[in-house]
Amino acid sequence: MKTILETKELCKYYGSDENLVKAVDHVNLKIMQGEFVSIVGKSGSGKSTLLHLLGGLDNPTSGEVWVDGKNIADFSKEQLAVTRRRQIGFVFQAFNLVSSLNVWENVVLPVGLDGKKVDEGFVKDILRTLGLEKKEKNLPNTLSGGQQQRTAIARAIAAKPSIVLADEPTGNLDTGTGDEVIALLKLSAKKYGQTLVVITHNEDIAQMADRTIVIEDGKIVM
Amino acid sequence: MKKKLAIFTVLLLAMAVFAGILGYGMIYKIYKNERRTVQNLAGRVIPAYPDAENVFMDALSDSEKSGAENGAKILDRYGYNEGDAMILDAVYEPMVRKFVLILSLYIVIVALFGYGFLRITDQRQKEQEEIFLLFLDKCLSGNCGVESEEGRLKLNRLRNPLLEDALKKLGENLQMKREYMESEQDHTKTLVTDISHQLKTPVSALKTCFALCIETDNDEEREEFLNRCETQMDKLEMLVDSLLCISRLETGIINLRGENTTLTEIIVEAVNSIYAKALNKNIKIITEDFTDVVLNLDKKWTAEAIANILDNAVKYGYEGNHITIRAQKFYSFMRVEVEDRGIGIPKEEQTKIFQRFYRGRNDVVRNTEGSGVGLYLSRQILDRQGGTISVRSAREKGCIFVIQLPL
Repeated sequence: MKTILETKELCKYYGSDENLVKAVDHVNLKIMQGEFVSIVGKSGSGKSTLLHLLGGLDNPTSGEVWVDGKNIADFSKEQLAVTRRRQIGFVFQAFNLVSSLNVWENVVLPVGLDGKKVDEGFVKDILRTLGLEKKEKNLPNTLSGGQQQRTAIARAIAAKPSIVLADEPTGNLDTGTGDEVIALLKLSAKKYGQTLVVITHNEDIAQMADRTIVIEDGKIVM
Repeated sequence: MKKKLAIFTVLLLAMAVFAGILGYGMIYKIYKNERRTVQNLAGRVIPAYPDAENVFMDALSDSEKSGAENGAKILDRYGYNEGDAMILDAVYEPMVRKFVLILSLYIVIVALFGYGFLRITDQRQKEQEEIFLLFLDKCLSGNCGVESEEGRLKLNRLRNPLLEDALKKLGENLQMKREYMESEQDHTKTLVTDISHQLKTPVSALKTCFALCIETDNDEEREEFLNRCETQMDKLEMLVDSLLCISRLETGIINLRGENTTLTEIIVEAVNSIYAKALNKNIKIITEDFTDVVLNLDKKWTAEAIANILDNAVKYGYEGNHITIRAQKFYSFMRVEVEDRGIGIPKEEQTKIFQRFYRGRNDVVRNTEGSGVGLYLSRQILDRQGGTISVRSAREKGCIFVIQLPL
């Protein structure tokens, strides 16, 4: 299987001297294409920082992140933005939807930013898969938490990225809805052939993944 | 491409402007030459014949040139023949030469430029096509991993980045499928090895029992060994049954076929298959009320998945307690929970129980019949139909299996 995401001796430190915090400390990991990997750790274990580094949202103190065989440190700002848009879809705990745009507009926004034509059939299919076909015209504030997160998932998938990075996607949801969101992420990643990396502190959710990486004090322990 | 076309156009325009300036220069020279001739004539004729001044000026402003014919006849006598080639004229000859030279140069340059441009475009086109062909060739020969071949494939030299992206994704997709197929093959091999290992223990036990049975003269002992043989046979049969299920599922002989069914039907089928065992142990299976839904799933196999969970709940449950089944409709999934009050599953084992042939470390588990196949099978069945299965510890004791079935 092909490695889609890899880190080499990845470090992210904050502060200095006595106040030095090693949020991510010499992390080496390999994620294969099509895998569903969960990264589990307590809050403050550095898992969110790791996800931000994986997605090129943050710069490492040292070490490298390789996306699809390319070191993202070699990218210009513009190239990095393009890679993020085309290759990586993000799902956040706080949904991060644009409140003045309706569901459909939110979902197709990244595609539009990339200057690509919106594949309407594909987006419709995603919305149907995620049970949002009747909510297309709704504004985010008229949706429940679960619906908002499903909209965010649809947005992450609509640009046909190879990787979907989800940071505590169930953090703001009750257990049942959270389980469902994970099942949906898994279902759509499988359907559209995407690699899925989910960060969570919830070990029950990790059970649904193909593989679990446990992180403690910035280090991979399992 | 567009940039090059723009440069080419600008070059052509520059040359046209140059040609224009050149042409204008020549016309100007001719004009000046004519002026000089007239001035010369006026300067010579008028001082000699002052009376002719009026006639001369008249002739100059005569736009119809009525005296031209007459003049031509007079001049003809002096060899100023109108039929003479312009090139023979001492004044015009260098101008004509210059004009012809520059014109031919201009034509040659434009032709060269055009030819070069076409050649380059053609070459580019060919190069792009070659990249395409090479890539397609690779794909056809089944080696379309873009990563290792990037240097050779030169996909990054495609001028359209979207095209490059799409081709890469196509290549990766094909490669992934290919590798998936290969890993499936490996998987099948491992499965065969696993199966042989699983069969080995009961078969050798059976063999020993048989050998002892044949050797012994004691009737009581024979009875005892025969009983053991039967137990081993039962074990073997059970194992073969579940292995058959796995191998069928894994080799794709079993196609999970979606059919219109309801959750009630599935649960009823699952509970029915386990009912006798539960009754033996005096364990009640309670299904809490739920709103039934229509599901598009393989009824038989989905029931089997749930039955495996119930089977474990009965096997590892204490006599006289009960199992609760709850169902709740969500947006895209039906959530089914199976809660038991049995021995429970330690947290560190909760992810492992879905692995093939994994059996709990607990003594109770060790001493209970089982092959470590049931939950693996359940997960396979549910995963393949877009569902999920997970387990969490119940509040008091026992555990809750959570199944999500796509609506």
